[in-house]
Amino acid sequence: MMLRSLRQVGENIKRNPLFLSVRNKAAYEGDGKTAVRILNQDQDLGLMIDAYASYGFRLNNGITVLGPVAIFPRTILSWQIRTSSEINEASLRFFKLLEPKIDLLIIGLETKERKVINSVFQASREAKLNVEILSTEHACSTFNFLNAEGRSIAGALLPPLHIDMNENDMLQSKMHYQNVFEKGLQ
Amino acid sequence: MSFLLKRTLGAGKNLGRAVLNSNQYTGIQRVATKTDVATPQVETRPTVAKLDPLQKSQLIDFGKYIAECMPKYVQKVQITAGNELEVLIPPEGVIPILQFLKDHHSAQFASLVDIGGMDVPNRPYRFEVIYNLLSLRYNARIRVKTYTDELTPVDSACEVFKAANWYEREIWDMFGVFFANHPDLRRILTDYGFEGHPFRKDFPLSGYVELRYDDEQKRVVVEPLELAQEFRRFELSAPWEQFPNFRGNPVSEEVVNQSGDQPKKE
Repeated sequence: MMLRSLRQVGENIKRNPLFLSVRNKAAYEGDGKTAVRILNQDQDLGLMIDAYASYGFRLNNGITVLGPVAIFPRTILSWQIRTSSEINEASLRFFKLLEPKIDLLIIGLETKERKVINSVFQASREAKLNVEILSTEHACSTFNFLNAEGRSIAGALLPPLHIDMNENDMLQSKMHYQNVFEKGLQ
Repeated sequence: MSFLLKRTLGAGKNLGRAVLNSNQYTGIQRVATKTDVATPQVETRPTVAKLDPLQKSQLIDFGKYIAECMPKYVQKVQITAGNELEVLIPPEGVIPILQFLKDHHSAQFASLVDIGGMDVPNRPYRFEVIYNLLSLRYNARIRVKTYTDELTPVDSACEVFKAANWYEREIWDMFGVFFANHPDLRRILTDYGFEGHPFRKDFPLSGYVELRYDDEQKRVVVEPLELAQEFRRFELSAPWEQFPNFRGNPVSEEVVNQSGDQPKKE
C-alpha cells in the first residue's frame, strides 16, 4: 500500500516538467534537436574560403592560392594587384564584364586605413560597381555565406598585412599541417 | 435691528461674490482669497506622472556639480520632463565626460544603456548623438548629448564602454556619422552594397530601390523603385496645436547654462 503510493508519487514527479530535463534529454533529442552544419564542407554550395594568411588563401576544395585573388561562385583567379593603392577603375573593369552580371563585389582590403578605403570606394564609383568594402577577415566570411545563399557575387581579396591570431587559430593550423604532412606520407 | 443689519450685510457679501464671479465686469480682479491659499494642488489623476521633488532636487544638484567639475566641456545642463538630467557637450568632450561619469565615485554611471542619433536637417550641425547612462549604485540616469555634421568625426566611446561598439555601428549605418578610433566600423543593419543612410530626414520612406524575385533569372534582383500609388504626405501637425494645456510649457528646464548667461534656477 505504502509502496504503491510511493511509486505513484515517483511517477508523478517524473512527469513533472521541472524534473523532466534532469531525467530525459528531450531538448537535444527528437524534434528539438540542435545541429551544426558547416557551410564550407558542403561542396554543392560553391567555392568558399577556409583559411587566410598573410601570403594567400586556402579554399574548401583543397586548393591554396597565393597572393591576391578574384573569387567567384565556382572559379578562382589570381589578381594582379600588389596593394590596395593599385586598385583603380581599370583593375575593377573586369568585374563589370561578367555574365551573369554580379549583384555585389566584396573587396577585402589588407588595411583598415580610412584613406585607403575612400580611394577604393572612389574607384568603384568610377567603375559603376555595387561594392562592399571590408577588411579581409570580414570579407572572407561575408563572401562565404553570401555564396552559400546562392547570390551572384564576386570577391576581390587581398591577403591581410596584420593578423590577430588566438590560440585556437594556432592549434587549428598546427593540426592541419600535421594532417597534410604526416598523414599524407603514409 | 441687528437682525435687519445682518440681513443687509449678508446680502452685500453675496452681492460682492456674485459680482466677482461673473465675467461681466472685466476690471475687477480677484487677487487672493483665503480659500485659494489653504489647499496645495495634489495631483490625484492616475494618468499624470507624479513628480518626485526630492529626486529632482538631487538631479539638479548633481547637474550643477558636473558643470563645476568639467567646465571646459559642459555647455548646458537641463532637466527634461521633470526628472531626466541632460548634459550637453561639444564633440571634443565625449571621451572625457563619459570617462568622468563612469569612474567618478559619486557618479558611477557604469552602464551604457543606449546611444541614439537624431537628424535635424535645418541645423548647421545636423546630427545629434545621445548617450544614455545608468548608475546602478545610485539608481540614477543621465543623458549626454553631442552634435556633429555629416563630415566631422566623433570620438568612439568604445574605449570607455565596450557596449558602444554596435550602437556606433548602427549610427554610422543609419546616419553616416563617422566614429574615429572605432575598432570595426562597418554596416550592421542595411543590406550589403546598400548605398545611403536611411535614418536621415532626406532619405525617402520607401527608399530608392526595390527587390523582387525574377523568375527568368531565378534569383532576387535589385531595381529602381516603382510605386503603384503616388506617395501621399499627411500633414499631422494641426491636431497638436489645439491642446491648450501643453501650450507654453516647455519640456526642458535649464539648470546651468554656460554659454555666457548667468546660471538660472528652474
